[in-house]
Amino acid sequence: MADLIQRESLADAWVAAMEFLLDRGGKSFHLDVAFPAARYEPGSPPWEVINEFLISHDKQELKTVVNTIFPEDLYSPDLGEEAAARLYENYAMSMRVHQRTGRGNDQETYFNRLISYPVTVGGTDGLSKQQRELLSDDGRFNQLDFYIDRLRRQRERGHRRSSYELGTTHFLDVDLRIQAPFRDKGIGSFPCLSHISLTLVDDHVNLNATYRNQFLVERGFGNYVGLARLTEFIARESGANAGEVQIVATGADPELDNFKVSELRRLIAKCHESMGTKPKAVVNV
Amino acid sequence: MAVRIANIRDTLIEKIAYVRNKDRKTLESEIKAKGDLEVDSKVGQAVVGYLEMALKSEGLIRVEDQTKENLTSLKGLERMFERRLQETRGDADG
Repeated sequence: MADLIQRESLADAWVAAMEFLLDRGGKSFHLDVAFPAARYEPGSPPWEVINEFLISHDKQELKTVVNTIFPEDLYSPDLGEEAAARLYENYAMSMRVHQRTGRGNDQETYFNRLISYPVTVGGTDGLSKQQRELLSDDGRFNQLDFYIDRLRRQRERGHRRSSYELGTTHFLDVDLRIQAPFRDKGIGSFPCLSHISLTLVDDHVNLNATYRNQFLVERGFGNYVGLARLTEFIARESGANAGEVQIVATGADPELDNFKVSELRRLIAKCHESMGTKPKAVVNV
Repeated sequence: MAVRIANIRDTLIEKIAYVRNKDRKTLESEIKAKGDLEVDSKVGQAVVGYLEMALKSEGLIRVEDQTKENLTSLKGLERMFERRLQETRGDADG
């Protein structure tokens, strides 16, 4: 059965999700976590506690995980109308260097899929001329740019409520897709984040992210921060406000194969201490 | 053949200023105060890309160069480029 965890802050939500999984004794499925996008500043508690834990276990630093979803340091809102274009340019430049470090999907990042989705893997025969014009010379599609523009136009026309849902419709008409059929064939490999849906309600952009599998310790907190910052970026660039982030992990893994329950309990206790909160009973709805 | 740039450090500061959208003077003040300039690793990678393009030398920085130490500070970036450019010059001279 699905489990819903709703909290008023990103940090509370992650801590509650971890407590829930530890209380349950391990992996869960259909874990649904929701929190407001705009109330967590990267670096504030329990960032340092979690980051030190990851480093001490030779895992990627939090900033590296966040950067895979939203590379904040490459974005300068002060640039106004040019801000998004500069971000895309900076990121493309960083990827020319990053992609030397791996093979196949090791080279990929979630943000790159959002701004450079490999459309041509399945061929472009079925695309209209208008759709082909959306693609770069090497057959890639900047989904973020396309949907931010659409959200902006939608707001200007006064249509304040709409949703972009993944269905069986064509990818150019739906939402932000990470997983690329034919290309992403490995079981248990990239991408764990499958797709993102955006919903504009009462002038707030809400983001839903679906994970095929989510590692709550190594990646979870960084995923939450990255998705919150991505929501804020989309909202700012479309002229709207940031709303809710909802993350559905079809498989949620507290990684008990890699970490002892006792050390994860200590980690959560330290998180509470840094945040000035106390362990609470998890609310299941 | 790679384009020669007289002062790699100056050019790196210029590229960092562009990526971070900061005034060059602000960055130089930070360098003066702290002795170095720390950057995020993604900023470091973007700066590498821009500088390689300016040098007309894509691929100069190798996989093994892309360490945290090399990518997250001005000094690290400068050392990395100087070393690789030195090798390139050596190859050309030899």
